[in-house]
Amino acid sequence: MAVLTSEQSKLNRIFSLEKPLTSQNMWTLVRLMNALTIVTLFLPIVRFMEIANMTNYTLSAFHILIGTHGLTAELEAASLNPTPLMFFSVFLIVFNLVLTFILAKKPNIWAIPLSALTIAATFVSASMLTWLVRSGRAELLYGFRLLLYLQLAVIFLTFVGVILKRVQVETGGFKSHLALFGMLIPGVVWLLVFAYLPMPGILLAFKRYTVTGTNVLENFFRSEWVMFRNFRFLFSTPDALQITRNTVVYNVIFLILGLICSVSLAIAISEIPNRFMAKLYQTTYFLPYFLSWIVVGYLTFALLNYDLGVINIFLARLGIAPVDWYMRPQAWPTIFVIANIWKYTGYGSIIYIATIAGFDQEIFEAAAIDGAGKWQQTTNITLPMLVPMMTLLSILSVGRIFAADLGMFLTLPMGSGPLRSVSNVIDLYVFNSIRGGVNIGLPASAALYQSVVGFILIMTTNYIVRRISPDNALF
Amino acid sequence: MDNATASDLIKLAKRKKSRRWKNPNRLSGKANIILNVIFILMTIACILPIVIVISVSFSTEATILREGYGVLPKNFSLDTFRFVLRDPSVIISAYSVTIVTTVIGTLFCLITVALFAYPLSRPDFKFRTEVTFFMFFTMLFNGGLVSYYIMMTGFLGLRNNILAMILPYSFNAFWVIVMRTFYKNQVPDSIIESARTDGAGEWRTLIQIVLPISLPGLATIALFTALAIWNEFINCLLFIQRQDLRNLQTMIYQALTSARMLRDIVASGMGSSDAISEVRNLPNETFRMALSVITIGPIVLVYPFFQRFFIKGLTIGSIKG
Repeated sequence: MAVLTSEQSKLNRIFSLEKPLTSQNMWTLVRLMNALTIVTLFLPIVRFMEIANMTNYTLSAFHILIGTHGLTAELEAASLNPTPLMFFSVFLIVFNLVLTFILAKKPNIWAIPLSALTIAATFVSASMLTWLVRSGRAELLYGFRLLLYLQLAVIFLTFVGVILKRVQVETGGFKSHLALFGMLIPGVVWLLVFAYLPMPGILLAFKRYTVTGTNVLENFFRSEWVMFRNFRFLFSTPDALQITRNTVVYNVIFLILGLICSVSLAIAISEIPNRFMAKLYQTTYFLPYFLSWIVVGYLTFALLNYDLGVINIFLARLGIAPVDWYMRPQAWPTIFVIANIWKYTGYGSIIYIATIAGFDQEIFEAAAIDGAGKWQQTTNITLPMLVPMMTLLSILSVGRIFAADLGMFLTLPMGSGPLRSVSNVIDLYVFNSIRGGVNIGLPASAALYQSVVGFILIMTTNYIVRRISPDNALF
Repeated sequence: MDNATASDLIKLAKRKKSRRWKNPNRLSGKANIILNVIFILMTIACILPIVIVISVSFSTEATILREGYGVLPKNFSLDTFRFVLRDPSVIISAYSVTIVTTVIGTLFCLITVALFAYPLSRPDFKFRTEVTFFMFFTMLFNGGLVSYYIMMTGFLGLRNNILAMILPYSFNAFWVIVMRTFYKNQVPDSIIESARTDGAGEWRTLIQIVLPISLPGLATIALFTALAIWNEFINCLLFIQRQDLRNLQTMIYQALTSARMLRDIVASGMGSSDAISEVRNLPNETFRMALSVITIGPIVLVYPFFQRFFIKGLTIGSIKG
């Protein structure tokens, strides 16, 4: 326990805490409150009905941030009670003030600009609110929006200030960590924008998305909350069962068959005495991995085309009637499996080949001397020694059993309608819905369903593997 | 074996080294032949579709329409290619878009990943666990395609923008993990310590000392990222409607799936003065295959040289990873 400063002791005495507030606890508390503050910005606190469209929707402080001047007219028409909004705004400002002074345990350079900003914001914001309520003038709404941006900035700075303070205390100096943080910035920005920013978008699954305004955020907030109606609709159609079945069954087959083929190929290639030929074969089988699925689509087209495809020509020469492959769903599961194996076996076998090459040859020689045949050596020595690698590579695949290889299912069938029942996987369903421009609440619910199940699967499989052999787990 | 003396073992080792040593554990001649035959058949099965496509592109359109595709060129002719290269503007624009996105995307990815992985590999960086979790969580759970689409178009406004094909590839959590392991294993602490005592800051240590050692890892990342961006078409299909911003893959995808698109591409080289009847004589089937040959061509040519590095990168990354 660190020695408490006088301020801390004062706070302890004021709040008569049993456990003294150490700096560690303080910062955790402050961070928690900061997070809560940001959350309160999004709470739907004001509810009113838009008379013209007869839809219910709610406002939060953040809504004002992205609203347009049209909102004013609605405010008047719907006899809005802005008092809660006002209270929340004032609460935020005062809260911020308190936060700032808690943050500054000793007169800290951060306290001065933050407090100044907060006080200014308080003053101007309070006056604007009063004007707004009385006059309902459009321009003032813009001004109010500006001030809320300001408050958001202040909160953000406080948040950052807390982190920096912690860095300063924990590392005893900024310099080296400043450089390291600088290196992290591009990655962090990318992750925030491309990975974390879309996450609230999963809420789209619970809304009936309507394009009412110019702004995407505005559309989002104005769309009605329909809760689970999208899901109910999705699961009531035969689509849901079909896409789930397709995704899961294909992935299971790909996983099992892929594993068998990759490992068999790896073992076989490792057995070839002529190393030059072995390398040649390995190179050849690796090539399909480099071709994109569109190119593979061309290759399958060259084979399966009704008039000109090689397979039909061959059948004709045998006297069998040509088959319209692109209209026959029954053939396509096999075609997909073949295509998947063709493309990925070479790639998958490389790791196993390298692993086998790293095996100590003595154990094989000893087994041979003891009279074990090739097959026995393979099943009793090679395979068990490959198991850790196979497990590791399979976990990630099992976790991704709900995510399909969109490229293959999109390009190979060439958009043929009858093939949809066997090629429609979740990703393809979502993809087509987005391009089709229908109510995106439906594919959003499918996407959410996919993300959640995928997450549960990864966590479960990792947990199971961690129990069995901790070395092979992901984390 | 138990009774082998030291001299026996030495003799055995010497025999192994001699050129005529035949590993008693190697495949018998018969099994070897069978295995090789199977492999050759598999090789044919692998390569055959590609050969067919190439053959068709070198054939005459009329013969193809009459007899269908085949393994060998029918009525060998360079007409289709001559036709394609008469006005290759569509192909050139698609190629340039692809090349630009690949180069820039790979560069961005390399920079971002190499920078991001370095602090994670330093044991004295106090926030390793937090940052690693921050990054790793995105591998487990994402917002889904719909949110991604809304974010790209509504928030970032990247519709019909070439960045839509570059930015999504600018960071990859998986490569960060690989690179972090690479830094930790390949760069001995002593080097960094001596750099630190010589007064080098973190940036200097990274750029002048760590990066040169980690070039193999970076090369692997560059290769795989470049391949991924070159082959990608989903982002293009979702976000790009302008014809001149199309990716190479998207262009040939549209040529394959839509006859109208194919005609647009084929007829792009013709002036407005050409009669409509000429359009009917355009080589559609061979043109399709010629397009795909033009796409595959560079990859198949470059592949023998680069595949070695791919394989090396895969094995180093995964075994140690």
